[in-house]
Amino acid sequence: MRTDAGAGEALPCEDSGEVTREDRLALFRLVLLHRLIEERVGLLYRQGRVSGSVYTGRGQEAVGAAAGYALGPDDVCAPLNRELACHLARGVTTAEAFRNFLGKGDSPTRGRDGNMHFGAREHGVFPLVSMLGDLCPVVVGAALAFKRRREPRVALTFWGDGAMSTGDVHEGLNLAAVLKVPAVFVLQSNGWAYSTPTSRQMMNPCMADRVEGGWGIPATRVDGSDAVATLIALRGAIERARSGDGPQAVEAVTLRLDGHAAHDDGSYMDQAQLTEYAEQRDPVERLAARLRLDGLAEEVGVLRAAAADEVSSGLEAAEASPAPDPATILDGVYATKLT
Amino acid sequence: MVDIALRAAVALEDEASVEVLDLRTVWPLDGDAILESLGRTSRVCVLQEASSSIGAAGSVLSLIAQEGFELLDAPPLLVAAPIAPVPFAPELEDAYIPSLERVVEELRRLGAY
Repeated sequence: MRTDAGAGEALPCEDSGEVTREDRLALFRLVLLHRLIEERVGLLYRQGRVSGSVYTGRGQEAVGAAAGYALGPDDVCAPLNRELACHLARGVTTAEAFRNFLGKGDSPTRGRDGNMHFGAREHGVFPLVSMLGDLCPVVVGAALAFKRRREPRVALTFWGDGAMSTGDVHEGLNLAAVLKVPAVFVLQSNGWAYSTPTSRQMMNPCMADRVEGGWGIPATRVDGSDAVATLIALRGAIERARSGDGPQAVEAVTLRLDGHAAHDDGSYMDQAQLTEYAEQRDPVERLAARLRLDGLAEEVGVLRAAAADEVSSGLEAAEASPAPDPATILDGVYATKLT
Repeated sequence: MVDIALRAAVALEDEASVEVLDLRTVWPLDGDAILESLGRTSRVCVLQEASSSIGAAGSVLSLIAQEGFELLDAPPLLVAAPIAPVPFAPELEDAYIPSLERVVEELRRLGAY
């Protein structure tokens, strides 16, 4: 299943003056950290040190990274389980992410929830709602609040091919469009809704088409494996939403390189397609190839070493954290403590 | 919870006669078996893994209150998980599910009433 791209084979990301050298290096750090944290979490899971399951964003790292990076400091977002890089871009640390996977007492959810099911209120990151698609109306509500208060802020969320077929997405999109709220929807077109291919999910597989034609929300389609192109598309959408043009959508086309989660080996997926994507369109290696062409090969090496260190020290810090105290089991559930 | 209940009964062997009734199904609910057992012991503890605010225990307690009231020598006892979402961390999950120690302690309290 794991098909690591050989260095030098990946197609470089596009070149554009709109995305500076600083932006490119920042995005590289984010996609790399996302990849390395998930690889480490996968190992912890197989060692029985992470309960439940592990849902990765392998192959889609550039989308969450670009979205989190493109948002302004006062904007809010609701990342899902394949957008760890978005959390990191908003200021969540590697130690905080590991603490949540390990269910530690000082984790973002204080051990109440695990995996990617956490938010970071101080960074404007909403916690994940497990029923995918449900975050659409949530961010539409946040965006409506911003509009009513006349604040120049944007609310952004993601969903995938599967959630696109849920009712709450329809309700949220419709309301966002008629109320013209500053919301941005990132549609993760990764080819799969769990084990159902897009072709068996929808008659028109172009989600951007459907959002623009069906709900009247401007939508663009971008290669989600290209961090530079994705950042340009998201910056445009976010700024249009902020300037009063109403909700915007960006469909990021990628491929999910892992199964749905750690308990799914993805054996039903087209192995040749996976290999081709991993070799040519791995988002981490595409950006590395771009940076090498930019003359930043040395910086790529430095960032790789720094990211590996950041992951190791983050895990070390998380492992040193205390387990949650069973006596606190009802804390945070009720405003008034039950007896 | 059947395993916990059986182990609690063994733990209390020298102190009390504990009868364990595994309902197997909640619908149909075997009301006759519940009331017959209550008739023999006159005390009842309903044990369930779900939160005390939900689950089949409510139906069992309702049946006991309506049809077994005169058989009771002590208020019926409910031992269940707290009214909170099931937590993720193993340390919290262990504290959430009724433990053998907790069941034994509650049964002692019921017997002493």
